[in-house]
Amino acid sequence: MVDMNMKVLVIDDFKTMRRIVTNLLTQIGFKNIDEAMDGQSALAKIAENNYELIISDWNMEPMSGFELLQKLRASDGPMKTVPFIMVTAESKPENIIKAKQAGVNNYIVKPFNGETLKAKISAVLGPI
Amino acid sequence: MTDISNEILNILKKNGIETAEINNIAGQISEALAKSGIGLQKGIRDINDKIQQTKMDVAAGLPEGTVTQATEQLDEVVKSTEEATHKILDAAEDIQNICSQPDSADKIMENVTKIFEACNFQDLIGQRVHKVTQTLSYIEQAIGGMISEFPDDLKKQDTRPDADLLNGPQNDSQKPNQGDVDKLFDSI
Repeated sequence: MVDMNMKVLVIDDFKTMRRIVTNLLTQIGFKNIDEAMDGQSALAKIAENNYELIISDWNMEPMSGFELLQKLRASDGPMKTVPFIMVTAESKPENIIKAKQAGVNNYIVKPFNGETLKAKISAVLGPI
Repeated sequence: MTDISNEILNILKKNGIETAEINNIAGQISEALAKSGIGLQKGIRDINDKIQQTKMDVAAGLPEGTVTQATEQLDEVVKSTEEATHKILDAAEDIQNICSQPDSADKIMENVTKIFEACNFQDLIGQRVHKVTQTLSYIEQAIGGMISEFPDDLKKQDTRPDADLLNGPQNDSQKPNQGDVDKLFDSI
């Protein structure tokens, strides 16, 4: 069973979207949710916390979610294999392919609902 | 230009220059001014032609639909907010129906009213966005080609390494659903 006390990091440059994802995660049962507004600030938080799930937008400045994913997969240590789910408006096949090749664990296109989010997290972490 | 010629002639006469010589000079001045006028008009025409040609060249070199992308995005915004508004209204009406049941809280009705009132935003936003769309469309056409004439270091560059993958949301008619995304994702 999934540990609902695990540390989760939600990354999106829109505060409203961070609020929506955090609320949905809380409804699913997660209790320990942190937020960051872009890939760069997320990296700083990741350096100080052992997150066990990352849910990230793609298009952010100065560092996108894709670039963050690439950096994590290229790193040494536990964050190299951290479960990473992209939640994004980027829906072209090339985006999906590149993200999968870069090591993303699942891919959700916006707009989405709580059911989809729960299903994709379960597909990565196990039954919730 | 005739006024300038006459003014020059008057100055020359005041300084005692012979009429024949003045006429000769006047003729040369008029000719020169006429040529510069024609030259100015031609220069402006040349610049305008260049702008039009550049705009056509830019349009030919751009991915299809790029020039209209911004206005289409705004149209999609209006559509999305309209859909969201309808969802909110549906939920509000359901709650309202529940209110007819005994022991339903007055607060539910109060919240329903607030939701109905809040949905007014969509109409106002639709009107504002429509205005922006019209203005943006005009501006895009007017400056699109000229920006391409700028040297590279003056153009805003997206320096993110994945800039070529950042297309933003697609139009609803082109956007895949989650099922399509899952099929592709699982096939890789």
